Amino acid sequence: MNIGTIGHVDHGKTTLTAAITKCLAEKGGAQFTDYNMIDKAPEERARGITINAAHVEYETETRHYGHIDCPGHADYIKNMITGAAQMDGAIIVVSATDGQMPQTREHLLLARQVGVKKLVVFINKVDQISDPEMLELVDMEMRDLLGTYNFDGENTPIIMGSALAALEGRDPEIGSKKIVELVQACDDWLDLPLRDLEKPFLLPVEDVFSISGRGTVATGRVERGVASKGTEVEVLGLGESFKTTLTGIEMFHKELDRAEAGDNMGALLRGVKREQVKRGQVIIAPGSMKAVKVFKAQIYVLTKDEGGRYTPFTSGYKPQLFLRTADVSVELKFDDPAKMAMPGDNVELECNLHSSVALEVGSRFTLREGHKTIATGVVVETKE
Amino acid sequence: MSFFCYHRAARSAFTPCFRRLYSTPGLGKKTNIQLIAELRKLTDAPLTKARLALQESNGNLESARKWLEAELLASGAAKAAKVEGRAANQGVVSLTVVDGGYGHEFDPKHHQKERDGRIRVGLVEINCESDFVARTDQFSQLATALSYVVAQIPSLSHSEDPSFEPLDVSELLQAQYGDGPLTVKSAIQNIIATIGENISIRRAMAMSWAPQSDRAVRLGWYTHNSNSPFQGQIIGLSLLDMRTQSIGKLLEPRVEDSPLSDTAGQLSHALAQQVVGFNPVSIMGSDETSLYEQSFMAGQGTLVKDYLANWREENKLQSVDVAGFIRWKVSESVPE
Repeated sequence: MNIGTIGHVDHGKTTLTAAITKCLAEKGGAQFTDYNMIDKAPEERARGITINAAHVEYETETRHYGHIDCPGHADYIKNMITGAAQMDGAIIVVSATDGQMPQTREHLLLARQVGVKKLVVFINKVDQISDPEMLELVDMEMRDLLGTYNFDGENTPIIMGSALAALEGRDPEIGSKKIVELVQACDDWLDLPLRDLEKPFLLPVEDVFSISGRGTVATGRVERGVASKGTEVEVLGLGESFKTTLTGIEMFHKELDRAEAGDNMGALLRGVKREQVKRGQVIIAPGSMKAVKVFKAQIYVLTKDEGGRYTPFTSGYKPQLFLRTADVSVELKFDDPAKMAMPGDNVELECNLHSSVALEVGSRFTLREGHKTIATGVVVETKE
Repeated sequence: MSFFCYHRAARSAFTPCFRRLYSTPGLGKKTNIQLIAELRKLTDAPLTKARLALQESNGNLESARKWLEAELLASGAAKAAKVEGRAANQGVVSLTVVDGGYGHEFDPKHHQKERDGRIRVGLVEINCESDFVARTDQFSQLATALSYVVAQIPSLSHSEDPSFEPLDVSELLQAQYGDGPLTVKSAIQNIIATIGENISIRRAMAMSWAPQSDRAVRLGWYTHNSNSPFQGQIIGLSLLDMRTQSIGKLLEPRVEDSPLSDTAGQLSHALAQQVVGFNPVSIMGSDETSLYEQSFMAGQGTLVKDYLANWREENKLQSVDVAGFIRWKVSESVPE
């Protein structure tokens, strides 16, 4: 799973990241990454989009973590939109000397916005505070604030320590032991995202064939879930919705009984005419998704350097939307019709599809105009 | 209307208002912690400072607050010196429009305002280190208050043509901050003390202009990536310069709305949006780097110059020009 560190510039989030890799390296679960290597991480490019983010990876006994550290709000948002590293949890870093600051609210709002449901708090620099009651106050204020932003203030683990002590290998009571405790809290408290195999079956239709004597076969790569021969499935999207039976599964010219996420399969559908199934539709576990025409999305508009537009666009703009195998024209509408979107912007807007597509909150798509990708986006709310 | 609103918002940044006042004799230790929490809610002061303040004032909240005020000034200066060299490339551009010239505001909420054709504007860019801080209320209030300060600075020149005047940032730092005792510099240092990032003014610009009998100028503005019409990541300003005999009479909003006034407001707004969206470098020229040669977003692709010519004819004016424009984007390099 992916987690990120969020905190004020001086509160030691980079030191903490380095300390985590150091402590876990000692247990063989990570490669030590020093402060400078994290802090001076080069810009990354995900699907051609530039994002400022440092990545490290580490392992505990039970989990593998991808850990990202971004300098700003906009970088985390870009991360979310592109799905470069979807954050499943976060560590909020607060210094014991300052306590939570005005910007801590913004840190929590961001975590909410990128879809983090649970987080862990690290109160850093506790060696600079001698009075335990002061630490209680930091704890109390933090729980209060967490509650204000709809996190579980009561039960969120708050770990107090010194990332620097851990990094420098001194005072293990507030240093390395606390880092171990923090990582343990992540293991215990943060929820693992569902694995693709555990989700309901979804096969985006890439191509459709009619095989004489057998019937209609839809092909594609299983995005998630598992399907067995003989089960009921639903064909959904582009104005259609009907149920049928999966009478056969074929992979590399072999008949199989089962297909799962990652497999390229042909799905033989009972009693279905070739014209009824089209590229852009999905074959799913019945009722597991809805076809949607209107939804809200957060999009990132590519800059000219990233291959995007060099001029702004306004409400009413109609590019092509690509989602899985679907290719549909879409009208974009801003909340405020007088506004515009410029290359480099993160914007929330409403998308009105020409015909319905199976999608849900978290579905990612790109917007294209001619042969250019002009934006990439993620669904944040489905409407109708 | 907007003027007064923003004035108030600016003021509240200098004088925090209190929900409760305390005088607490003989406190136990537990109370002490609660008082620190209370003081933090009132002042946003760092934890250790809040505690020190209560110690120094025997647990009296009111005197602790006063002590903190003085302390934050001193520690703010020290903190400011410490963070001074750090890169501050986030922030906002903030605009105060005291007067926007003849015509209705583009925003219908501002319809009630009396106009005499004057223009008085302040524009300022404030930087900080992270975009998290740029999003806080504290930072936003500081920016609002500063553009207001800039708009109040008496203009030096009284040129015949309206023009934007850059202000010297070091002079601005010495200006009075609102009605209070602070200078702009110490107000910024106060915020540095609570926010802990390097905060600085990159640039400031003011403009004031008085109308002439046959000439009216309308200011248009467009704010991009913003939470308010007056603050954002990019702000564009345009000056729509209209001439004809007794133009003031044509533009004054009297009992009935003046059509010219409405359309001038919309056009100047659209021009400011064009400036933000298409980033021209000059008004006139031979290619698309000049505003007049660009296809106009608000005019279905008509060239800006042709759109202006048609508009002049429709409204039976002697001449219509763009007298100037400004486009400020947060953190762009500023030409000397």
